[in-house]
Amino acid sequence: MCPVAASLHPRDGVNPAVRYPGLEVAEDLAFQEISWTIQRAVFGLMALVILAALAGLLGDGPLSRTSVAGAGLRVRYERIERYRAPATLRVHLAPGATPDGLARLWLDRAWLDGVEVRRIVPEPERAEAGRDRLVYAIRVAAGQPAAVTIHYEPDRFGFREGRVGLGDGGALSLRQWVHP
Amino acid sequence: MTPVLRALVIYGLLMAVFRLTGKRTLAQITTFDLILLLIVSEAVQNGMVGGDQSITSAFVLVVTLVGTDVALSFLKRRSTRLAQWLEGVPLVIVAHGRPLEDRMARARVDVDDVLAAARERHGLERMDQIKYAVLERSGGISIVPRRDDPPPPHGGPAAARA
Repeated sequence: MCPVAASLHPRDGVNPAVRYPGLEVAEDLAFQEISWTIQRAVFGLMALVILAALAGLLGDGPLSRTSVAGAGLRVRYERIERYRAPATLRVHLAPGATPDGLARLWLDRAWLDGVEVRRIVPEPERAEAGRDRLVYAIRVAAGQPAAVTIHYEPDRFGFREGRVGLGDGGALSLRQWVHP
Repeated sequence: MTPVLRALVIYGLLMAVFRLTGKRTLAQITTFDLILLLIVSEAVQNGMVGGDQSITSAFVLVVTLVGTDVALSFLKRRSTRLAQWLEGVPLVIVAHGRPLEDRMARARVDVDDVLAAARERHGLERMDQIKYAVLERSGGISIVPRRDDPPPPHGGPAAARA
C-alpha cells in the first residue's frame, strides 16, 4: 500500500496532516468542518421551517386561525398571513343583530388600506365611504344568524391592525401579521 | 417591493439554501433532480415577479440577477475567504484507491457515486484504479486515475473510442 494511504487515519475527516503527493487541490479541512457544522444546523432549521409552516406560523394553518367575538359579531380570521396570498375574513352575525334584514357591516380604513378586497359574499347592495371606514350594506335574513365572507389579498406586509363593526354598535379589533 | 429588491432577495435565498444544504444538492442532474429544479424555478417565479408581467420588469430582473452574479465573481476573485463561503472548498474523498469514508458520509457521497464518475469519465472498473477522487466545489466528482495501472488486456474504453 502506498505510504500516504497507509498513514490515513480511519476517521481522517479533520486530520490536517493528510497530504496528497502530486495533487494540487485547495483543500481546507478546517473550513470544511465549519461548513459541515453549519449544514447540520441548517438541516435542523429547515425541519423547523417545515414544522412551522405546517403549524401555521407562516400563515394558513391551525396556529394562524383565530376569532374574536362581541358587539353582535364573531369574526374568524387569520392572524398570520402572506403577502398577496388569498385570505378570508368571515363575519358571523348574531340573530338579533340585523332585525331589519340589512346588515351595515363596516371595516375601518386602516385595515382596508393594507388589503385588496376581491369579493364579498353575499354581495353588498351598496358601499358607503365614511370618514375613517367603508360601510357595506348587505341584505340578510331578518332576525336570523348570518355570515358574511370577505375574500381579500394583503397588499402590504408587516403588522396590520384594523377594526370591524356592525352599524353604530361596538367594534372588534383585528391584529394581523403579513409575511413578505 | 421593486423588482431589483425582489431579485436580490431571491438570489440570496437560493444561494443560501443550495450552499448551506451541501455541494451534492442538485449537483448530479438525475431525472428527479431536473424535475426538482423546474419546480424550484416555478416556485420562486411568483415571488420574484410579484404579479408584474411587464417586459421592463423581466429585463430589470435579468439584469439584476446576472449583474449580482458578475459582481460576486469579481468579489470572489479578490477574497479567497468570500469564495470559500460562497462556493465551498474541494474535498478529497478517495486517496490511492481507498475511500475516505468519514468524509464521504459527511459530504453525502457514497462509493457508487465515485465509481459511476470513474466509469463515465475514465472507463475505470474498480476503486483501486483511482488515485484520487475529489468532490469539487461544483458538487461534481473528479477522478484522477492511477498512472501505473496496467493497460487492459483487450484495450480499454479509450481504445474503443479510438
